[in-house]
Amino acid sequence: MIEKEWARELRKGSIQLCILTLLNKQRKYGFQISRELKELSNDYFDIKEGTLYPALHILEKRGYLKSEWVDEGTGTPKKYYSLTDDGRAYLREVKKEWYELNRNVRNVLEAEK
Amino acid sequence: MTSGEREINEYMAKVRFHLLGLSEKDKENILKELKDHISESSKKGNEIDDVKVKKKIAELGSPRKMAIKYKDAYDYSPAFKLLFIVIGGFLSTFTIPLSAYGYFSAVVLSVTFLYVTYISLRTNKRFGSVLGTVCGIERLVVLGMFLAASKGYSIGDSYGIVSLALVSLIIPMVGFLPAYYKESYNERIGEE
Repeated sequence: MIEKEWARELRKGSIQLCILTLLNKQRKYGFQISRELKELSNDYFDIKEGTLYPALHILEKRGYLKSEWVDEGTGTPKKYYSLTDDGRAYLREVKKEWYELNRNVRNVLEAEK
Repeated sequence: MTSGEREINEYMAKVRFHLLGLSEKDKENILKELKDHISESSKKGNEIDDVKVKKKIAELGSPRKMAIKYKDAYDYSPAFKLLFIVIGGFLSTFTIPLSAYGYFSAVVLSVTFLYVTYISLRTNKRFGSVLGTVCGIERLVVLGMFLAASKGYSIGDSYGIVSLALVSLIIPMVGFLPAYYKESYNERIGEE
């Protein structure tokens, strides 16, 4: 279905923005990110492991995220991700673009009512 | 060890197998993180619940597909990259339009194009270009060696010379373009 493919692409484009936003205030590990994304979006972003972790790795490769293994004494260390300075600057840019896009699309949609 | 933990370990072993080509460090990081995710999402209180593990592993899908998603994001290890270049160089040896090769060179040339395209898609545009360039240079070097070593070989007429030069220039592009378009497409949809 074309409509479903369109919605999927729209969702994929927004996931990166949501991940960076979640990591803006504090470091988080993968499971936390996926759970919070799901909860905060009312199950809209039910991101799978095979999508989340490669996406985090790519953001890290691009210099927007950094990661560190932390042993919290639970037996298994966790890999925490946090934003770098470049990541914060990138997030500001993407957020600005997102709000502008959102406002303008809404203008067009409301003009059609 | 509970049956749930055993099932997780079996799944991880299969993912590891399909991550062939990545560095050991990357493999360890991927598996440790993925295992932790599966364990945490399968917990009931503080214990791993066997039923939840079964459900989670079914949700994750095949280990091969899971590994492919990671391989799209991670770089191959230097050893594997070297192997790709050696294979490309070896194939290129037989792609020069020498009269002695006959139609054989055309067949190997097609295989080389397919090989470079495939590796370009599996790696990235930078490595694809390097591979293509090595193949292009290898052809010229081998031709030079053939002509210097034996007077019995020739590249035939001017058509042979033009095709030799043209193909040598095209191969680096074959290495670059598939990965370039793949990366541009993935960037457009927000994923690499």
